[in-house]
Amino acid sequence: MNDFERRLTEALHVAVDQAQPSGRLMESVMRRRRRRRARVGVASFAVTAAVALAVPLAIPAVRGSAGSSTSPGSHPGPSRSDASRSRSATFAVPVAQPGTVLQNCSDQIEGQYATDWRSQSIHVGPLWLIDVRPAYATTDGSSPLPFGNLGVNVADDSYVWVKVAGRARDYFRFLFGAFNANGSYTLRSGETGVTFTSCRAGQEGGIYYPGYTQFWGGFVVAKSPACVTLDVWTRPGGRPTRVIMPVGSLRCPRR
Amino acid sequence: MQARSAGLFRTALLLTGQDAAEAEDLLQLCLERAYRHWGRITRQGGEPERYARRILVNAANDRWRRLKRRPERSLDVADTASSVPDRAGEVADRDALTRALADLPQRQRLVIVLRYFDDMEMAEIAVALGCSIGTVRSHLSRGLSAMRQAIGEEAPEPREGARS
Repeated sequence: MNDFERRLTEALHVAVDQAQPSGRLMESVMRRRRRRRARVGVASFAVTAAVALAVPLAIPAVRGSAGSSTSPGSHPGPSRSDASRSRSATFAVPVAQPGTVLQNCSDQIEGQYATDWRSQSIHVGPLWLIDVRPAYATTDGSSPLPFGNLGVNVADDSYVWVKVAGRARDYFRFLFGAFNANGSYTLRSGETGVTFTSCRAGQEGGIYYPGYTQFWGGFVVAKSPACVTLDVWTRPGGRPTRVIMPVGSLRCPRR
Repeated sequence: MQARSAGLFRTALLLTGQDAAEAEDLLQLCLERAYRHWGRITRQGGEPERYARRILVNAANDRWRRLKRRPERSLDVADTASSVPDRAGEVADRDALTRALADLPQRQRLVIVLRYFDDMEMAEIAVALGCSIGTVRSHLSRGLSAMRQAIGEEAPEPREGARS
């Protein structure tokens, strides 16, 4: 640290050294919390009321096509169209796909990305892997393997899952169920896939990106730079879309 | 988390150009969001402070976007500094430095505060801001250079970069 940096450090500390938040800080935080819950409560009530009105209309339609269009274990949805019924049905029973961990509405963590986040992201249907062209992994000295953050935006009312594919399974894992920010990860810490079930539209969230549910996790790699192959499914029974995520400074094909 | 609120508040003060009301608002927002996701953070054995810091940084970015079309008020640090007995020259130097900090673009200011006030490593800052270490170094270097220029100080002879 040079003289300028020392003076700067001292100036910053002296400037705010005696500063304290007000004594009613936590009271204000709780008041904020209550206000937010009230807003969410009103929105939830509106959604519930809408579903209550729609279900009686949907049941006859579902009975008419029983056994033909709904997947095993799914619930009938509120819409009369096949497409929207399928979407609601998968949404009603959020389950982790085999080999994945589940991230649902209650797991969302909001945050804000750079204004041009879309240009540096991987986009498949409702799924956005944020700022991963390229993704960067770092170690803070305590982790056996490099790891990085991975922000994910998923359009509301969506069900999508992503799995590590090909050779990347030997050296790449997601850190969603296990991401604990303590900076110590191995491949055994992570997961080979993640299932995302986003919030219902208007249910909660969307502060920064209305219409999206935000998830915040990470990844761990045993090899960097690398071109990590991922398979993304946007609907049950469908074929996966293959994408390639560059980790570190390396040119990779997009798909 | 409540115990760490004073430290977060001081960071918020520096990020907002020492606007106490704005800093407290940022802190409230930060703690409310941390509280909302408390279950997930703690059940994974995580470090709530790291999440809270990211929330704080994001909230500061939001605020800056709201304000960027109108100039922020000039920083007046004389009141806070005057309570510390010191020589006039040093007080003036600190005053100039904190004013120069307040005039920096938001991203550079964030990096400098996290580096020199919160004493975070480059890798930690990169994680908090969601960018690469190279980007952090770039913001840091440009920010320091702009501050030197603002207070009329020449850049030092080329040497090893800022500590990492």
